[in-house]
Amino acid sequence: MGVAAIFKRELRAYFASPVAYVVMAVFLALSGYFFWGFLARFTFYSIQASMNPAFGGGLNIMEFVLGPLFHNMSIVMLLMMPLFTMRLFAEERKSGTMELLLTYPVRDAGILLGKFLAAVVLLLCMLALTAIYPILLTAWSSPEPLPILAGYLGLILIGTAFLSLGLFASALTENQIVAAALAFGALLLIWVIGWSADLAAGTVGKVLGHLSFLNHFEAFARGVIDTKDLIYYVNATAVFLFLTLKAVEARRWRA
Amino acid sequence: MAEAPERVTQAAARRRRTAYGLNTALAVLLLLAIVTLVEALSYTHNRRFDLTEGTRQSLSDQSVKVLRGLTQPVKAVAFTTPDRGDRAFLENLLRLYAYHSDQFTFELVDLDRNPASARRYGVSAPNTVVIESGAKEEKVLLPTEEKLTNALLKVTREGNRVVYFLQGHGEGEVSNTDRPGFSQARDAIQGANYEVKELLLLREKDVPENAAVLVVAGPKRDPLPAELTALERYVQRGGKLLVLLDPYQAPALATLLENYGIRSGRDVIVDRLSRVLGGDYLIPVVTQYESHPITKEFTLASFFPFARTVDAAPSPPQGVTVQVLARTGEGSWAETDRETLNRGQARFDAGKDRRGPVPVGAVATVEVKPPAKKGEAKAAAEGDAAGGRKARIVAYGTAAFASNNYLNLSGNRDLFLNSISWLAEEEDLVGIRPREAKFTPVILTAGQGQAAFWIGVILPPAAVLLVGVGVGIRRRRAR
Repeated sequence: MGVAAIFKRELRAYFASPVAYVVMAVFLALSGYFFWGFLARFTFYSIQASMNPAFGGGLNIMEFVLGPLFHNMSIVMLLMMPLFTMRLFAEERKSGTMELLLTYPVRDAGILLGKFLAAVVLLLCMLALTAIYPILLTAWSSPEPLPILAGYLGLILIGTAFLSLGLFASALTENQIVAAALAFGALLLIWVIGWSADLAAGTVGKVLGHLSFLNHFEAFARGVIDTKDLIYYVNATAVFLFLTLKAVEARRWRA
Repeated sequence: MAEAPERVTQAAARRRRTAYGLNTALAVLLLLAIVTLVEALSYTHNRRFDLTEGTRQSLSDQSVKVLRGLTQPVKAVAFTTPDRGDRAFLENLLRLYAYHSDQFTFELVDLDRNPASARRYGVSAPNTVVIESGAKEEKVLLPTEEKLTNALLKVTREGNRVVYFLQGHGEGEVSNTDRPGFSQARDAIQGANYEVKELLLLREKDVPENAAVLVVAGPKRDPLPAELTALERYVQRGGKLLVLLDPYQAPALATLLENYGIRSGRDVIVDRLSRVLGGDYLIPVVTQYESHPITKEFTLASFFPFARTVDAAPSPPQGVTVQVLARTGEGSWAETDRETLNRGQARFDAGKDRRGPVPVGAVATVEVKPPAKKGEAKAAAEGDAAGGRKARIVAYGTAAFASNNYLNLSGNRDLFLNSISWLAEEEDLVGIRPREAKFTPVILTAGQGQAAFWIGVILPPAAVLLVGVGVGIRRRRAR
């Protein structure tokens, strides 16, 4: 199978280069720091609540630790994901292996899928390492498991959407830095476009708010799965993968 | 000769590229169109799955039922300012309402940037929601799910609920726009989505069925015995009565109230403090309110011109709960000597007069017994258990406090309207307890705190870096 071959090749390349380790380590350091910060604050509230019986209703780990943590993790991912994908097509073009790759007995879509899946597996590895936070919390308290899973589902979905956009940026250029910069710019723009939703009235505002990557993450972080958020991320991923495919195909006919 | 085919192939290549380019552009446009359509559909036809314990991120069953039952469009206009933290909370809440009903739409309005809209709805404070449907609108301050759902019920309520003003005994008239009239009280009640009508019990046999509240505003003469029994029947079937009793007037009506545990004194309240506030001795200032839904979050003083005491009986009849609502301040007393008062002199007589603070308003809740057959105590008990209708009575010691003269003075208007709305409180209004998340405290020992830091912050990135370094070294050796 062609896709499997590409997938293996890319995954091996990831784990052979320092990029994956450095990106993951930075992500984990930041997430860990946020986790610790939210937990310390929550501990402080808990102590206050235990001294004052009137206080403390609704003092829940999901709302005070994991929800905000998931939020911050999604923003760190926004900064980190382009680094996972910037190399994928840009490097092939730079080193001239793209032409070689295009002669493989694999369709363009297969190449794309293999690369994308490798990046997704990297993302899953990275997120799996953050499972240490809910595990620690479960040891010390009783967080609800289902909302945590919803949060992780959201992180996976928003992460794959980020990756597909990064992949598209990588297919547009042969310079990795340019690819990363393009992806950063686009991601930030789609993120902040939600802010202007407050300023624009009526339907325009609603559409702008709907476009924002992070607005759709909110429900997941609160333990709610909404089909419209789910579909949004799947759509966003599909759109950028399709655009990437068209960009790769353009290599063939424009040459 | 050799040049021609070359040029032809170049042109062909260019044509082919243009064709591919158009093809790609079309495909992209088509995809975007499809995605836009899917997004639009998913936006309007979404489904939520609340995975939290007790589905605390969702509306309560009561609210959902109300929303599913909506048959007419309802619009919520929420006034906020963007910098407020409660904006997100409000938007989320309203979005949940819109999720459960196509009839419910909402709009967030920036209070600072839309003063005209704010003025149209008479909104001045951020975090206010106006719920409107048809001609009715209801303002909700500091919205919670309970408040919003109840406002929703009020604006969509079928048919008009009527507040009747008893007439025919010299009561204040709602059509009278002069100083002693009650036209402003009528406007205020209409503003709260009630219809206001006058009621002549001399003509009608009974208080009409659609009466939300019957107001008896300071009758100068007593109602006739037939009217009194009609009033009694009204209370017995769970009616809501607001009685404003002026001093020395309508003794038979006072006796009727006494049957329900509300005692009105044969006196006039004299208040020295009111002098200080620029009023007359006989306009006592009420600043002490007892805890009751009517006086909840009530901080304004109210003025009760020429008032008698209205007190709760120490031992009310069975099935009646009665409590005092408001009291005058220190330095006031209930003057019983009518003669000296008429001469414009009043003095506190220990032993005769009651020393302030004296009560000027009371509220009684009367359990209405179902028309039980003799010997069937069990059925009656079941009726009680089912929490049958309860009659409600609010009585104040003066009518003037709600007249055009004084209604807009300080807290008078709020007190009057609160009384009306508490009395008229619909049976279908719902009580929704805010659902709080389970309390899951984390109190770490020093050791656990350190563990959280090392295991959470240091260990994962360090492990990843170590593996990375290990792989790097192995690769360098292998080379």
